[in-house]
Amino acid sequence: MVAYSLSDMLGMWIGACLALFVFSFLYKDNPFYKLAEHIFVGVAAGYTMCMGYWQVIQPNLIAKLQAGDWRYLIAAVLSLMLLTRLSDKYAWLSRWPLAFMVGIFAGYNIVYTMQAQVLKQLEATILPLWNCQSWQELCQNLIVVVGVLTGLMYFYFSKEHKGTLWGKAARVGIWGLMITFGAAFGYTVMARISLLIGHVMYLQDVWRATLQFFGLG
Amino acid sequence: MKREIPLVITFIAGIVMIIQFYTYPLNWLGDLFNDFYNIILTFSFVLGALSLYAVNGKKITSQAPGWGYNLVLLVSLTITLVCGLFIAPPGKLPTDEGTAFSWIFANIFNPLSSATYSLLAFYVASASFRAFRARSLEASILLVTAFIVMLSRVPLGEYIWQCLPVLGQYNIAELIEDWIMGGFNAAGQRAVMLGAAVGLVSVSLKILLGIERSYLGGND
Amino acid sequence: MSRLNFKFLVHIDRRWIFLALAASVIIPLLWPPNLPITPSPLTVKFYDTIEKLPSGSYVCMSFDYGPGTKVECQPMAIAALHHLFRRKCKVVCLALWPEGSMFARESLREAASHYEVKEGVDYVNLGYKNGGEVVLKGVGEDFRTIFSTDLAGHRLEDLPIMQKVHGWDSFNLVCEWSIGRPGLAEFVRIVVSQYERPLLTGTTAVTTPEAYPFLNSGQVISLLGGMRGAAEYEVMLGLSNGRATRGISAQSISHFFIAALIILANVIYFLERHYDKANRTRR
Repeated sequence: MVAYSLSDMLGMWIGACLALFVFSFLYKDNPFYKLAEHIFVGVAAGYTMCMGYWQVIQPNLIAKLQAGDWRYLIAAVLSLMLLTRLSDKYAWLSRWPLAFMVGIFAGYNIVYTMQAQVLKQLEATILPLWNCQSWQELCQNLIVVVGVLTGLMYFYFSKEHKGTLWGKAARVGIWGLMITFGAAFGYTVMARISLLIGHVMYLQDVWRATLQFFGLG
Repeated sequence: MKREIPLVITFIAGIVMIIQFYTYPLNWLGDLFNDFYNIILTFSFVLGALSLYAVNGKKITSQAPGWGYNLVLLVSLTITLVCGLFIAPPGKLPTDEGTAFSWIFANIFNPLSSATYSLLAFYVASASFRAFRARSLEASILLVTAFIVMLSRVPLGEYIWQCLPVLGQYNIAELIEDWIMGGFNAAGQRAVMLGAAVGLVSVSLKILLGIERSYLGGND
Repeated sequence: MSRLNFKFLVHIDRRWIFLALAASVIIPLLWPPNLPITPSPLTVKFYDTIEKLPSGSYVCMSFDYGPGTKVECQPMAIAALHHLFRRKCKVVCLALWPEGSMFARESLREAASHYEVKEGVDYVNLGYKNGGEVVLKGVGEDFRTIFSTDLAGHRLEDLPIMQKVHGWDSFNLVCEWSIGRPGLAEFVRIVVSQYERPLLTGTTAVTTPEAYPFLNSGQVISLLGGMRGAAEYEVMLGLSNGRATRGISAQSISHFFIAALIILANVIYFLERHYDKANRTRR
C-alpha cells in the first residue's frame, strides 16, 4: 500500500479542485473555469520553457560553449537574433534564424517525406490483381488500389469532376473517403471518451488516496 | 540585404540536409545544423514567454476587463519558471523527482491539461446527437462505418456480436481490421497522405529555390 | 397526418446529454461489468515481436505524448516496459515532447519496481529534445551528438547501458508512443526509411487510422490503437489491474450511449422527414 504524505494529499486535492473548475464549464462559463484556464496557460508555458532550458539549452548550448566548442556561438547568436522580433526597427534580423529553421525543414521534407510518404506508399499501392492466393487477398488488393487511385482523383481539383471516367471515379473516391472518415470518427469518439475515463479514474484515485490518508479505506 | 541573406541561409541549410542524405562527407555539418536547429527552436520559447509577459502585462497595467485573470496567468508562469529554473535540492536539477517543479507538473499541469482535453468527450457526444444525420448516401456511408467501428472496438460490442446467429462465428476484430481499417481506411488515408506529401515536397522545393518567400513576412 | 412533437428532444438542453455521458462513464468505473477482452491480431503481432527479441536486446522507446492522452499511451508504455524487462532487454527512453520525459520517468519507475533492473545499466531515460525528425536524424549515427546527458544530468559516457549504444543501428527494436506531431510519421521517415530499424507503435485512438498506411506498407510492424489496444496488451501480459483494462469497461457503455444518441437523432430526423412529406402530399 502506498503511504501518502501531506504534500501528496495537498497536491492531489489541488489537482482535483482545478479539474472540477474546468468541468464547471460544462454547466456554463464561470470565473472558476477562467481561473483554471489561465493557471493552465501560465504553467504550461513555464513548464515547456524550463524543460527546454534544462534539456536543450543547458546541455546542448551552454555546456558545449563552456567546453570550448566555439562553433556553438553561431547557434547562440542566431537564437538571440530571434529576440529582435520584439523590436520594430530590428525585427528583420529575426529572419535569419527563421530562414535557417525553414531551410532545414524544407531540406528534410524533400528527401525524407519523398522517400517514406510518397515513394514507399506508392510502392505499397502497386499490388497484384491477378494470381492472388485467395479471393480475399484479391479483394483487399483491389480495395487498396482502387481506393488510392480514386481518392487521388477526387483530390485532383485542377480538373472538374465530370465525365464518364473522371466523374464516376471521383464519386467512387468520395465513397472510399467517407468510409475512411467514418472510421476516423469512430476512433475519435473512442479517443475522446478515453480522455474522460482517464480523468474520472484520476478523481477516483484521489478519492481512494484521501480515504486511505484518513485511515478510512 | 534584408531578404537576400535569409534566402541564402535557407538555401544552404536545405541543401546541406539534402546532400547528407546521399553522401557522408557532409555529415558533420548536417549533425551540427541539427543541433543548431534544436537549440534555436527551443530558444524560441523565450520569445514566447516574453510575448506572454508583454501582452498580459499591458492588459494588467491598463486594467482591461478581466485583467485579474492575466495577473493569475503571469503569476503562475513566474512561479513555474522560478521553481523550474532555480529551486532544487543540492546535487539535483530542478526538474528531478521530488522538486517543487515536479510537484507542479504532477498536481497542476497534469490534471489541468487532462481535464481540459476530456471536455472534448462531452462535445463529441452532443455533436453526435445534433449533427450526425444520414442526409445523403455519402453521409450514410460515413455514419454506418463510424457506428460499426465504434461498437466493435469495445468488449460489449464484441460480446453482442458473438451472440448473433451465423455472424457470431466470424471474428469481428479481424473483419474490421482486414476490411475497414486495413482496407478502405488504409487506402483513403494513403490518398490523403500522398496528396499532402506531394504538396509538402513541392512547397519545400519552392522555399529552397526562393520562389516561396511568404515565411519571411513583411515588405522590406 | 398529425405530426408528433419531437422538438423537445431535438432542442434538449445539451447539459442533459453531458450528465448522461458522465453517468455512462462513472457507473461502469464504480461497478465494472468485467467483460472479456479478446486480443486483436495486431496486438498479438505486437506481443510476438517483443517475445521474439533475443535476451539482452537493445530497445529504444520514445514517449511522444502529453497529459491529455496519457490515459491511452501510458498503459501501453508501462505494459511494454514490463514485457521488455521480462525479456531482459535494455531500454533506452527518449522524448520529443516536453512532457514525455516526465512520463518516461513515471513509467520506468512503475515497471522497474517489479524487476531486478537498475537505472543506467538496464534502462535509461535520456529526456527530451526539441525538433522532431531533426533530433532523430541528429542521433542517427551517434546519440551523443545531441544527447550529452540523461534526464537526471548524468553524462552518457558514465552510463554502462550507453557503452554499446551508438546510433540507431545499435537497436534491435524501436517503440514509439505517439499522439501526433512529432511522432510516428517522423520515426517512419528517419528511423525506418533511412536506418531500416523495425518499428512498433502505440497510438492514441484519434491518430490510429492515420497509422494504417504505414502498417499496410510494412513500415510499421504492428500497432496498439488507443485504450482498447493497451487493454488487450495488458491482458496478454497478465497485468490484470492495468489502467487500460480498468477503463475499457466504461468505454463499452459510453460508446453504446453515443450510438444510441446517433440512432435516436436519425430516427427523429427520418420521422420528421416522413411527416413533412406526407403533409406535403396531402396538401
